[in-house]
Amino acid sequence: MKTKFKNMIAVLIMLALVATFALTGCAKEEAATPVAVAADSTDSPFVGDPSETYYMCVMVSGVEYWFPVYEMMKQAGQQLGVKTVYTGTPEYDVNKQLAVFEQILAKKPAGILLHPMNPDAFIEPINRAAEMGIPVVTFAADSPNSKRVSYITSDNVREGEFAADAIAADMGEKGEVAVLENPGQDNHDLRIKAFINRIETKYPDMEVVARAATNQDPNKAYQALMTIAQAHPNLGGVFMPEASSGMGAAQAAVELDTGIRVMCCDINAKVLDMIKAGEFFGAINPNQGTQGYYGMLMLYLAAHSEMIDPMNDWSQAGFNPMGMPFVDNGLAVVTAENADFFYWDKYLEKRGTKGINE
Amino acid sequence: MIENIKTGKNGFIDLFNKFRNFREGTLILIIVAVCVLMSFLSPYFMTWANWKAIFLSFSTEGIVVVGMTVMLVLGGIDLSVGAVMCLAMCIGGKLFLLGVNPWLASLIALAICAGIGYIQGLLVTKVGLVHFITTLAFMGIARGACFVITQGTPLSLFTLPQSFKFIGQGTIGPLPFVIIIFLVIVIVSDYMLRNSTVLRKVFYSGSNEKAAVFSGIRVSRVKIGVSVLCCTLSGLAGIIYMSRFGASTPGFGVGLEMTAISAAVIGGASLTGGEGTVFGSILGAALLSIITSSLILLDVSVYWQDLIKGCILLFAVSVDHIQHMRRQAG
Amino acid sequence: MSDYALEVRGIVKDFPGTRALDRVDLTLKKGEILALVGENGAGKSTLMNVIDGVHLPDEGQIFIDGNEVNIRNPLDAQKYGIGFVHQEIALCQHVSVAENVFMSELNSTDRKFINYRDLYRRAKKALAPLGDIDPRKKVSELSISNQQIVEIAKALSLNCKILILDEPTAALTESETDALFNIMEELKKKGISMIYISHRMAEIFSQCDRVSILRDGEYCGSLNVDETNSREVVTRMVGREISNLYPAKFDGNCIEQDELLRVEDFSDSKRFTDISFTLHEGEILGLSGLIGAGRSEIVKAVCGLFPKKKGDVYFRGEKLDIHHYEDAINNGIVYLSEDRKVEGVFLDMSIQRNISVLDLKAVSVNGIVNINKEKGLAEEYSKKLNVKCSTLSQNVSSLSGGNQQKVLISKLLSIKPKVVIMDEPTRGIDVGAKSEIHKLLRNLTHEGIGVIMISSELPELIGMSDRVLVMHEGESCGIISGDDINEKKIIHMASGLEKVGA
Repeated sequence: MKTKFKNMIAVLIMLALVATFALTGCAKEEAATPVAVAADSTDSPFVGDPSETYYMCVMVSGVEYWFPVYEMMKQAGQQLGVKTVYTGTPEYDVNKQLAVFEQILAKKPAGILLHPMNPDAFIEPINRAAEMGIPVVTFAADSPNSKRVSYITSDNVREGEFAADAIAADMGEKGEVAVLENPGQDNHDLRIKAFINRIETKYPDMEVVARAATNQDPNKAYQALMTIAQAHPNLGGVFMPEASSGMGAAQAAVELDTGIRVMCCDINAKVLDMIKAGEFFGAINPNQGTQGYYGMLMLYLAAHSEMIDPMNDWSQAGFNPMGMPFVDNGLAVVTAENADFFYWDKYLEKRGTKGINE
Repeated sequence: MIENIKTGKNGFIDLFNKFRNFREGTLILIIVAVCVLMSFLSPYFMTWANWKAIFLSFSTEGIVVVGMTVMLVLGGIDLSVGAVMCLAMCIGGKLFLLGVNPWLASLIALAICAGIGYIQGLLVTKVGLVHFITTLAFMGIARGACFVITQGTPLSLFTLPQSFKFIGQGTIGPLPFVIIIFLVIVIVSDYMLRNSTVLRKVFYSGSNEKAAVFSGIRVSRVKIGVSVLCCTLSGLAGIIYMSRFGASTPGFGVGLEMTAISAAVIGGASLTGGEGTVFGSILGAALLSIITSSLILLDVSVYWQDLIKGCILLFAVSVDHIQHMRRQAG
Repeated sequence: MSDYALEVRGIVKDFPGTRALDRVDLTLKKGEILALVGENGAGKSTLMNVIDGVHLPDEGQIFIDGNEVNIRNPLDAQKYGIGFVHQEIALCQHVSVAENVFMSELNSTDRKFINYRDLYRRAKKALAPLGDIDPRKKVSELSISNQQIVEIAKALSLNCKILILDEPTAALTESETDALFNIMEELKKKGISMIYISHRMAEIFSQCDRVSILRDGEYCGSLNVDETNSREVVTRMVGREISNLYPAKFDGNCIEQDELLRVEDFSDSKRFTDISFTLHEGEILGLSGLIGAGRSEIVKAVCGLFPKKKGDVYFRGEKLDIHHYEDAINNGIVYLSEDRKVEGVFLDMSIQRNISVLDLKAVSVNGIVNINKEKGLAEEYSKKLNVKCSTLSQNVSSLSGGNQQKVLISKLLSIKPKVVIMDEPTRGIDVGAKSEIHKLLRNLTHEGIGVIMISSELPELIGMSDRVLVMHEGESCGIISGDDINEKKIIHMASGLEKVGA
C-alpha cells in the first residue's frame, strides 16, 4: 500500500516536471536574437545593449491584428540591437492582462509596448512601472491618465470619418446608411461616433437610419442587416467598427443584392477576399506596422532618456523627457485595388520571418 | 376511467383550454402576442423577407439547441457547444485549404466532434466528473485548438466549390437550404425525443438516474450517446456556418452555450433533468430571435436593447412557469 | 390542570378537491404512548402537520394542558413543547451530530461565534440517556437508527412535553427497534407524552397504552390496547374485515418442484462470501438477516446490480451470463429495490411511463414507443394491482406510498417475469395495501413464479416464506423450512449463534 502511494507521488512529480518543461518549451518567449552590431558603432546612443528586453503586451493574443505590429517592433528592435518579446493573454479579460503585465514587470524589462484593455485599470500598474524606471508606451488603445510616456494610434475619429467619406462619395452624398456596433469597447465606440457625426454634419442629404448592436458576432450582424434592410429598403451603406461583424453583414448584403455598401474597420483574409470579389465595399486599416515600429522607437528613446536634456522641468517634476504624448500613425483605405497588400500570410512569406514566434 | 375527454358544448373554449394545457401553449401565445403587437408597430415585421431573416438567424443555432435540449433532459449541461461548433468550422476550413475535398473535410470535422463527445461521455461516466466541469474544460480545449489551427486569423474559404456553398447559401424554391436542414432536424428530433425508445431512456436517466439503473437502463451508454449527439450537432452547425460565411473564424460562437441553454429553458426544459422538448426549445430560440429583430426594426437605441431583451425574457419565462405550475396543481 | 397533554377537537382541513380531515378529535393523556393508526391517506400525516403548525386547520381547536392554543407555524409548536420526529430523517447530513441536535438554538442565537466545546459537551449530555453517539461525528456517518436517535435528541433538546414519532421503526432492524422502545419507556417515565404512528400491529400492542384510529379523514374512536386485539383495530382501520393476515403457504414440499434459479458460490470482496441457494417453482424464499448481513447485496449481485468476484447463476439448469441488470431482465429475473424513492420510481414521470420502463421494446414498433400499447400495458397491470389513480398520465409523485409501490410491482410484472426478487416490499405502506401485496406474491407463485423476499419484519417473513435463508455477516447460516421458521430460530441464526447444515 505504502509503496503504491510512493509510486503515485513519483508519477505525479514526473507529470508536473514534464508539464513544466512542456510549458516553458511552448511559451512564446523565445526572444529575437539581436543582430550583430558593428564594433565601431558602440559609442552611438542608438545602439542598445543586447540584454535589454522590450515586451509587447496585448489581450486576446491570438488575434492577427497584433502580428504586423509586432513584426515591425521586432524589426526596430533588431536595428537597435535589443531583444523583443511578444506576450499577452489569450482571453478577452482585463484581469488576466493585468496579471501578465505584472509578470512582465517582475522580469525588469527595458520597456513595455502595451495595448491596455481598459484605460483606468492600468493607471496604477503603469505608474508603478514608471517609478521603477520602466517606460510604457500604449498603442491602439490608451490609458490617458497614467504616466505612460507615449500613445501611438491611428486616429479612431479619422477612421470613422474616412469610412463616412468613402461611403458618401460612392453614394453621391445622399441616401440612407446604418451602423452595427460593439458598444462598450472604447475604440469601436469612437469610430462609430465619428462616422455618425461626419454623416450628420458634412452630408445634409444623408441619414443614419438604424443602429444595432452585433457585438462582433457575424451571425448577429447577418440578422441585423437583414432586418434593417426590411425597415429601410433604400439603405445604401452600412459601417461597423470591426471585421467579425463585417463577414456576416457582407453575406447578408450579397443575399439582399440591393447594392448595400459594407464597410468595416480592420481586416482579415476573408474580408480581403470579399473586397477583391466586390462583395465588400471596403475596409479601413490602421497602419499597425508603424504602430509597432514607432512604439519600439519611443520605448527605446524613453529608456535612454539620458540622451537628451531639454529645456524644461523634467528633472524636478520627474517625468520622462523623451515622452511624446500622442502619435498618429496614419491609416489606409483598403479597396479592391490594393487589397493584395494586406494579406498577413503573404506579408509574412515576403518577409521570411517567423512572425510572433521570434 | 383513464382518459376523460369532455365533450363540452362550446368546442372553441374546449380547444382553447386544451391548447393552454399543452406544454408549449403558453410560449406560443407569448410569441403570437409579440408578433401581433409588432405587426401594428412596424409595417416591415410581417414581411416574408423579415421572417426569412429571423428564421435564418436561429436555424443554425437551433441545431445546437436540439443537442442542448437532449443534454438538459438527461440532467447534464454542455458548455462546450460554441467552441466545438467553432472547432468543426476551423478543422473543416483548414483541411479544405490543405487541399482536402470539402465534403470529406466536413466529415472528418464531424467525426472529430463526435470523438470529443465520446471522450466527454467517458470522462463523465468512467471517471465520474460532472458535465459542467468536463464541458467547461472542453470549451477551453476546443477554443484553444481553433486558435492553434487558424493561428488566430480567420481562414478565408473563398474558393469553396459552389456545390458545397449550397449548404449554407443555396435555396430550394423560396426556402434557404439552411432552413430546410433545420426543419428536418427539428421535426425528426422532436418526434424522436417524444416517441423513440432510445431517447425515452434519456428521460428516465434524467428523471432519476438510480431508478433508471434499477430498471435495467445502461445509463452510462445513454450518457455517452447524448454527449456524442450534442457535440456532433454542434459540429454540424459549425460546418453549416463554414459554408454560409465561407470562413473559419477562431472566435466564432463565443457565448453560444448561454444562448442555447436560455432557449431550452425558455422552452420548458429543466436544468435538473427529466423535462424538455425540442419543439419548446426551438420556440425559445425563436422568441429570442424575434425580440432581437423587433428591437432593431423599432430603432430602439443600442444601449437599451440588451436591457429590454432581458426584461422581456424574464417576463416570458415567469408567465410560462406560473402557467406550468398552475397546470400541475390543477 | 387538565388530564390531557394535548386535545384536538373538530379539526377540519380541506385541500383542493378533497377533505383531508373531517371533524377529527384526538386526546393525548399525560405520560402515555398513544398509537395513531390508519391506512395511507387516512389523514394521519395531515393531522400531525396541523398539530405541528405546518398546516393551518380550517376549523377546530387545539388545547395544550387544557388551554386553547393557536399554532401557526412549527416554531409555535416548539414553543408549546411539541416535538416531531419525522418518518424521513430531516437532519443536515454533512454537519456534526451536536450541531443538528441544537440546530434551532444555533439558528436563533445572537452570538456571532459558536462555542464548539460547550456545544459538544451539552450534546453528549443530551444524547447520553438515548445511546452512545459521538456528538462530533457527521450525521452521514451514522446508521439510520442512530440518526433517528439524533432526531429524538433534537426534539427533546427543545424541552418538549409532547413527542410525535412518525413511523420511527420503518427503517430499523429488530434490535434497533427494541432499543428505541427502551428509550420510549424512559421518556414515558419522565412524563413525556407520545403519539406513535406505525403500521406494525405487534409494536403497537407491545408498546402503546391506547390506540386512536383514523379512516378516510374521519376519527374512528380510540381503544385501550388491553381491551382490544389487532383484528379489531385493523377492521376499524380498513372498514371491513381482513380475513387472514397471511395467505396460505405452499401446499406440500416445494423442494420437489422444478428448480428455477440456482445461485452457486457467490462472493464479492467483503459483503458476502460463498452464498449458494436454489429457488424452486412456486415457492417464496425468504431472505433474513440483520442490516448489513449482505441480504440486499447478494440479490443485487445476482441481478447484475452489484459487483461480484465469483459465482454462477443457473436458470432452469442453464448457466446465465449476467453482466448488467438488462441481462437479468431479459432472462425474466426482476428486482424490487428497498429504496422506493431513490432507486424505484421516476417521481416526475407518469404512471404509464413508470410501468413500461423495464421493457420498452415490448411497447415499441420499429424503435418508436407506441403510446396505445404502452397505455394498454399500464392499464392491464395497474388494474391487476388495483393502483388507485385518476388517470395513468398523472405523475407518480401524486400517489401515496402504497400506490407507488404497486406501480413498481406492476412494472416488474409487466415483463412476465419468472423470478421476482423483492427487497422490503411492504416497507412504509399501510395494512390494506400490505395484505394486498402479500396475496399478490402468493398468487404469483401459483403461476409457477419463484419469489425471493427480503424483509426486516420478522412476522411478515415468517408468515410468507416457504423456506428462509438466514445470513450473518455476509455468510449463509443455512436454509430452514416448515416449523423451523420461527422468530427464535431466525434471530438465533441471524446473530451468528447457530448454523444449519446445507
